[in-house]
Amino acid sequence: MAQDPREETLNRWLNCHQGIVYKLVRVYADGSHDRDDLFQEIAVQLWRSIPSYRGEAKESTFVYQVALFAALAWSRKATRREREVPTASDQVEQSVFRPTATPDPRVEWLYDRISEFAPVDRSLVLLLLDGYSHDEIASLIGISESNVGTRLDRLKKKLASTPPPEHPQ
Amino acid sequence: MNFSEMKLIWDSQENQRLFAFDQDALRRSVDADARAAFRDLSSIELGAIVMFCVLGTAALWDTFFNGNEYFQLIGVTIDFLAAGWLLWRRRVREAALASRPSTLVGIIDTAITRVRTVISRSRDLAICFSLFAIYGLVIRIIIYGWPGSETKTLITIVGLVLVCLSVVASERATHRPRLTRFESLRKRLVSIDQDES
Repeated sequence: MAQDPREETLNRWLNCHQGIVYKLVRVYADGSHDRDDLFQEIAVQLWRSIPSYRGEAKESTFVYQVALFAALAWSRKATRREREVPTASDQVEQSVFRPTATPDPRVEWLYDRISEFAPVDRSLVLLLLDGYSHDEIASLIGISESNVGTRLDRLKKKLASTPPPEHPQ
Repeated sequence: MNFSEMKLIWDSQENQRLFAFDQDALRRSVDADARAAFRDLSSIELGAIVMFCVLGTAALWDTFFNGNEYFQLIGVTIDFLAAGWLLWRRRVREAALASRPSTLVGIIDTAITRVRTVISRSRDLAICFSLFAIYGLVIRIIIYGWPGSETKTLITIVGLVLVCLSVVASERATHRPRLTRFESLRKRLVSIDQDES
């Protein structure tokens, strides 16, 4: 049976850019249930955004932007969610999307440090680590380039203030 | 440590597959969610069945021993019909869901059916309650006349409708997100299956 083109696009995006999604989920959500929830939220937002993708930006940039805004919006609702009574699935400890490789403690350390920042600061560091330039970050997030530069300088100093764990042998 | 070293650490994760789709965890999660949704419905439904039976029996007792009017018998009939209808729907639902599917998509389909049932049943229960309340109001008007004024009657009826609508709305607010989550999971699972085949 032929797959719906929109479904095909979503599937391709989630497969090709799973790294982007995983990084955002890891940085913005804490705990297996929240991570599954954010993953679903990002998938839903990507699904909704498919008709608006005209191919003007790089596919990865578009996916990054949609997923990032979904993660930011999701984290804003975090306080409200904390007040909600947990559902039965909250008690399922194991995440639906589990890591496959033994995590490098230095990468985990980086994730943990980034997770300590404010939501917008997390996105700045993520984008910088993923190789985006200051002006690309500015247009993606919607703040001025000088603001991006100032914030990133401060964040880099914060990141550098704690030494990472030893490289695993 | 400077930023370029951090970037090297960061980039080291690019070459490994970051996560896998854990079907067992999903199966447990979906099953737990669907069961929780059903437990809510089950207790409300059981409470309604017991309530209709008690009210029906009390009204029947009153009709025979206190020689009340014919409309009390109509009330008895409505009570027992409502209880019987709820019980029958409960049995049909249990029978339909008795067989446990073996595939994950099957489990999600079952969960979707369960949550849809919860949503539609909450609407049925609201209708049931409102019919019962309207009947009570009509009886009251027949016996004692209009409760004070027409405005008061209108307010009572509007209040009843609002209570019933809020029952439906609260059920939808709780279970609709669950349904969306299951449907999106199903979509994702089916696309993964298609990819793998």
